[in-house]
Amino acid sequence: MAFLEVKGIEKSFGRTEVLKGIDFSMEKGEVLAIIGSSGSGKTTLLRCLNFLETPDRGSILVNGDVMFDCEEAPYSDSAKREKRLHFGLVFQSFNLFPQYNVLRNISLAPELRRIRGKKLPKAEKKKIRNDIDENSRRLLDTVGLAAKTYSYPCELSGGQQQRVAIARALALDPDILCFDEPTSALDPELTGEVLRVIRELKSSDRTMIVVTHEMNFARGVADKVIFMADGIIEEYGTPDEVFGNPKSPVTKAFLEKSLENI
Amino acid sequence: MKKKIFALLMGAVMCMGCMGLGGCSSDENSLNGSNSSNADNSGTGSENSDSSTDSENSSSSAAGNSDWDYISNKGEVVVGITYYEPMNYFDENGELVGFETEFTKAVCEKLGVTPVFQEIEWEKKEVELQSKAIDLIWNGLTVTEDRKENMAFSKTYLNNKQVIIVKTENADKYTDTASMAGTSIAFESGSAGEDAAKADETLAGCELIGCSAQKDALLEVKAGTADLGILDYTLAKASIGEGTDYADMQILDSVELASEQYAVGVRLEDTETLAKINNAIDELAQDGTLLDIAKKYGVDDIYAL
Amino acid sequence: MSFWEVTKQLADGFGVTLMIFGITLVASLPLGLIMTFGSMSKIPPIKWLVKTFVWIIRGTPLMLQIILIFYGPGLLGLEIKLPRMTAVIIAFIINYSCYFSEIYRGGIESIPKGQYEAGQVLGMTKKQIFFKVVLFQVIKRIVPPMGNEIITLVKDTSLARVIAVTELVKAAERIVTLKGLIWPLFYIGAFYLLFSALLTFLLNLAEKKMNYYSI
Repeated sequence: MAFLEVKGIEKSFGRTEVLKGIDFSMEKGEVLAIIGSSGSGKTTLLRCLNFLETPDRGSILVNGDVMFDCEEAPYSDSAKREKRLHFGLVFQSFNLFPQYNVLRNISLAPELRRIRGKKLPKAEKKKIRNDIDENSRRLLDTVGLAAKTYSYPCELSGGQQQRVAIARALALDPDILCFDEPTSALDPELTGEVLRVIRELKSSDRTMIVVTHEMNFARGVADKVIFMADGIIEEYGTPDEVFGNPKSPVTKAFLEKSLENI
Repeated sequence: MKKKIFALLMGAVMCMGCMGLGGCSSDENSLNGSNSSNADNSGTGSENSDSSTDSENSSSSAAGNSDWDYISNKGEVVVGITYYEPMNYFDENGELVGFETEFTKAVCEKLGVTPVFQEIEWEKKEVELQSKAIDLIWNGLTVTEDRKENMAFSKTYLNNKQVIIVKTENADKYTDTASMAGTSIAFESGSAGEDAAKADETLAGCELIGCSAQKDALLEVKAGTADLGILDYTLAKASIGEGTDYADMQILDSVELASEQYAVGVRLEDTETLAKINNAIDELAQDGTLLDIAKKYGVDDIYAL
Repeated sequence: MSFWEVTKQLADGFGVTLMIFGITLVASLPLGLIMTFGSMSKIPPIKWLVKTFVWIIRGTPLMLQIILIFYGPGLLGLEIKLPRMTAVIIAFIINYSCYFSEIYRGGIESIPKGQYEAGQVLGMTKKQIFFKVVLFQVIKRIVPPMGNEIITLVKDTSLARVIAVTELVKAAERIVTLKGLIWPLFYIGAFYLLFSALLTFLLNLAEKKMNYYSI
């Protein structure tokens, strides 16, 4: 049994079919890169995994547990909240909370989750807060931004903001961390620092799904690559298979075009 | 829960809003229509202008006599006034005094109710009366045909006249209304002053400035934005001259405008109340009390009973 | 009448002005937010009802609303009799709640979708997202338009005199009528100016306080 199993996901917006039946699976500790031209449905797929969109059909399982099944849908808000915590999401546009400093951006969600609305003794609460604070600082260190602990997002560069966003997603310790084109909103010279962080996360066996336009990155870091076109998985395999020896002519055409651009 | 309360609240307010929107157009209807029999009365009685000011009204419609009950049950009668000398104003101790104040108190004593003086905006007196926010208008109210549509009048007790006021430096320019052609004239909209201006051929052709209050007409003349002002004689006498900001203004004695009468305004349907007030006025006139009050406040020169 | 006597009398009127201002502000700020939730509701009847209501209130003069609330019940033959001050305050609260609710709505709608989604993927509840993530950003955005509206409210209080509530302008008018003095009518401008100056100062302070971040 695979760690993540995605079966027959379909999603339409009005009359537009965006996902036309997506099946794939991945193992724990794997890094999966999803590539494809814009409009191919890769971002929608990622948003389905994170419950930002509800699939029309299909099911999603993590570690054998049903996360989503169209037969059971719609889920209550609280059920969704529990299930989505298996996934983390790093947005293309960071979406940091501008009114909070870096540390608070990271610690807010864990604190709300573990303390808010629960009747705990004061000492217990304090201990949890300390834990969260410590963990947040450690994560900040991981992404190399310990010096910016008390800065506000508006004082950071795009690359730094994205690294904070990664730390924020990690703070809830998701089973699978998803990235939605994490470097697309960045100036070219800033993409390196973000990709470096993702590489480091791979070395600590983090399971990740990365939607990306960075072909070199996909080739160099991913264990598996999915090429999506027009709402279906056109090609699936190791980077060598997909990049080196694509079976589908659509993949070939896309890769040739991408390489030209580089 | 919150949403429910909210929806209820909104619903209630909406209803009021909608009724209000409808109500605006039907205001006049309800003012006249709700008491059509009385409205007819005052309409037919308007040919001989004094007839509706006596007790004829009360005797003609005996039906629906809860009006006096309404007031006597409250034990107080709300009297709509505006503050002006010498009718209703404050003395140096801050006490409300004046001819109308004392007159009202004397009548109310006879009726066995307590008067509550409520300041109003004069141009809303009809609405105040009809909505029962006040029960009487008693503040140098001039009897006019238009007003008879909306209220019943008591016996008249003072002769009102409209006078023209002017800056003293310009007083010599005007000897009669003909000499006022081409001037601008300020008065209170809807007041007897406006009627007086429009009744005169020459004045009607001048630039007419309708203000929201008589005192604004004074201000217009003072500021030079109007050449002349038309005001109640009593108000003009008390407002201008020594010790006021209008010391440089005077009443034009040379020009006479139409004169009218002051009376108490009562809701058209309050026939019983009106009869009681008229009786009380008669009594006060007969025993000389009313003339004494008039002398005290210097309005005996226009005393009409 | 001496300057001090006039000032003392005007101060009474100014007290009424401040009372209308204060009660309206305190009640309309939260009520407006509730109305915003109504106008942004996913339940069509509620949304429709609130939007129509806001349209009616914003589309008619406040003066008319005051007149309606005070005289309306009596003209309809109802036995409800509101004290004048109460009628004024009800009208002001309704009117300003509607204006505030539109400002709130504008503020809330200006918050990027990404902020909500970030909260969602971090497992926050709708309530937490609103109060912990969105609200403060909304407040920062609406302080300037809110400030305008609040300053307008100070001056709008003078409308209370249409049903003969003796606020500052009416208090001055009374002196003008009774004492034949004109200057008090202009002197009250100083009261309004000083109070607006104080409010402007406070609003600027609030804006500055929130300027530690930009978007």
